[in-house]
Amino acid sequence: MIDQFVVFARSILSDNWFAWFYQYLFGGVFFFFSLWLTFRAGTIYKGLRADRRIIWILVIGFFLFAGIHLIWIYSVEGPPGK
Amino acid sequence: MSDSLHTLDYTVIVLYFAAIVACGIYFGRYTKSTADFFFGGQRFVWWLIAASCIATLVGSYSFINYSDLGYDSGLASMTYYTNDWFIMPLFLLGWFPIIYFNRISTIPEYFERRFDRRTRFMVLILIVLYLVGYIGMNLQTIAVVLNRVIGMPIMIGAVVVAIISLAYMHSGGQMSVLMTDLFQSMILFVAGIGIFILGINHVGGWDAFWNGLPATHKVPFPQFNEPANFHFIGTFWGDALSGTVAFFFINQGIILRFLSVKSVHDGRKAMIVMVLVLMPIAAIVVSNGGWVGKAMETYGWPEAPEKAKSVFIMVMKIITQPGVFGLVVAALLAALMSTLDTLINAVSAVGVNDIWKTIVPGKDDKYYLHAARLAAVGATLLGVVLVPIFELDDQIYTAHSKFFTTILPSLIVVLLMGVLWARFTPTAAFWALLLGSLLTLVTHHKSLYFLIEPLAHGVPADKGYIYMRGLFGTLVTVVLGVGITFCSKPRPKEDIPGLCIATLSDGMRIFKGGEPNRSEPKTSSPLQLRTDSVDTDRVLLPVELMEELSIQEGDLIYVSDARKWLGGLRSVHLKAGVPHQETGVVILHDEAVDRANFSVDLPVTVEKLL
Repeated sequence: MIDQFVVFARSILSDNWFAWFYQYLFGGVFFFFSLWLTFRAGTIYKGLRADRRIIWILVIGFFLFAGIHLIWIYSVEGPPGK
Repeated sequence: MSDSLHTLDYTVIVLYFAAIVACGIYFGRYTKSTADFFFGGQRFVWWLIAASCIATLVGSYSFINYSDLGYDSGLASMTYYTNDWFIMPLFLLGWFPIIYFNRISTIPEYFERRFDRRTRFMVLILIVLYLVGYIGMNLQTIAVVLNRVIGMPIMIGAVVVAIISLAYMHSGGQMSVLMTDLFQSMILFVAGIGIFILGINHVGGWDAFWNGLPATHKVPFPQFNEPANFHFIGTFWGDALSGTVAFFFINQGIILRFLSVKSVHDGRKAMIVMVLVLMPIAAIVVSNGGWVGKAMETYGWPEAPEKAKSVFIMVMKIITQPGVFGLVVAALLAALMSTLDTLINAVSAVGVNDIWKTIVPGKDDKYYLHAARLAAVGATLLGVVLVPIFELDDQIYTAHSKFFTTILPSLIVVLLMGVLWARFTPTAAFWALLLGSLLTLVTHHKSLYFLIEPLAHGVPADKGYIYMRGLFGTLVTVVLGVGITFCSKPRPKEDIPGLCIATLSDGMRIFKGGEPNRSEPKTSSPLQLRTDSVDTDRVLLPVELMEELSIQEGDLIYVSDARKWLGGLRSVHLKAGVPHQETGVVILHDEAVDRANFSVDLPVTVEKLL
């Protein structure tokens, strides 16, 4: 089933766009789920500015990497789709 | 290649070795206890930790391998250094505070405290085998580089490097490793960026360089599932998730490095700067030789590379001048030695804390410091002994790597489940680790490839699923871990204080020895230092300063030399004592002043931590 999904995705997207979607979709699920888990467990003290800042930096960092990769692929290959 | 070395190059290389040894020995004199030897006294600020970690990260193989990758695959070679962000919440908010607040000095120690002794024993064997083998590999790699650069016989090269490493490592431990790695990271970055500038200049400027790269070499990701040795799906599951967790969570050297930081807040800062800023730069530093080589090829490489493996060296020979080439060789050696010294320190920590202290318990700290130094010597000797064995048969080298990459997913899963899930039981940890590793190991047999195939994302089986086996190992261990947990008895939460995210606040309390002060951390302006007969673990502060920084009696305080550029080299953690009335004066015991390496005539700053 995974193979068929890969074949289908590669038929409509270039490898780089597919890789981008795959990385930030699955990586994003892992990232935000683990962020939620640790947040829910109370590892962050919301009353502390330094702790709140960490959450923001984490989220901004995620979108920064995703954004840089997106702009990079777009500038070389153009929009997604074959 | 030795014929291309100029006297100036030799001079730079010798100067580099001399500077490293001098730096290590100089800072080694600050090491007075096992806490200094293993964790540098837990006193350093974020930038020092970030810079030294990056030197360790850029390993023995980096320049050569990533340049090859860059030559073959272009800018996608940066993937390995730019896909680590996904595990940051787990590290920054979970694992790092756990090890820091619990003062967990080795990975096996965590496994015993979180699970039980038998799991610790199993992990201990794996970690020791891994680390000692890896020291041998590093020594061999350095010796091969020296052999290729100056024609030194491999065994002599290994012995020379071992002696140099021990010369600065033996007395200073982590303190020396940190300081020399800071120096090595500077060499790495200066040389790496310098090479890139020279390379771009050589091909005729940025536009010529960019236009010289084929279109396939300009994109950030490799192809989705081919070729077998480098493809996106493999780097995502095998490196971004599995490999990154392995490096930051169970790399004993990195654990010790992060335990050297002065506070959890600084540790988080170090990690963020490292992954967000330094690692992408390091990716350029180690890969650009290959990119420049590819562009040079487009414009008619003066001499066709016989095989991609030599691309870094070939490019260097062409674009560098005498002296600069020596600096590049020094950078190569810096990458190798900064990894080697970290490994030696790691083996020493495991040897003393996990082995020697269980055989000979109850001795004083000086005794264990001596044992740590001997363990460093022993680990290095073992590494040297392994060099001819690896030289004799590179299949042993390959088998070592293959074995550990195979069992790594199970180790990672068990550790993460232990961190994230308080219900996860010791029985489940032991059996999931054992069975998960064994099941993953047996999939190396061709007849069992069908087990991995459904998860392979279309990666062909011809090279034996180098990366995709990790995904199989991960899933199998998760299933085993969850299944056995529901059939066995968990440890009550009170028995695992601070050892998983659900009990992290207990860890903070244990670390401080009282309820944490949750007010915003603030740092004072420079204050005058005075000694008096106060408790050795106390610092007495003026009343108005305690109010200004919201400090209460018993709070954990970081007192540091006011010169920020020292990076915490002269500093100490103490508890706030009864306030006094002398404005602008900090009072410490002589022993605390000695521990902090303070000069009483120089000002200090005070920071409330917890």
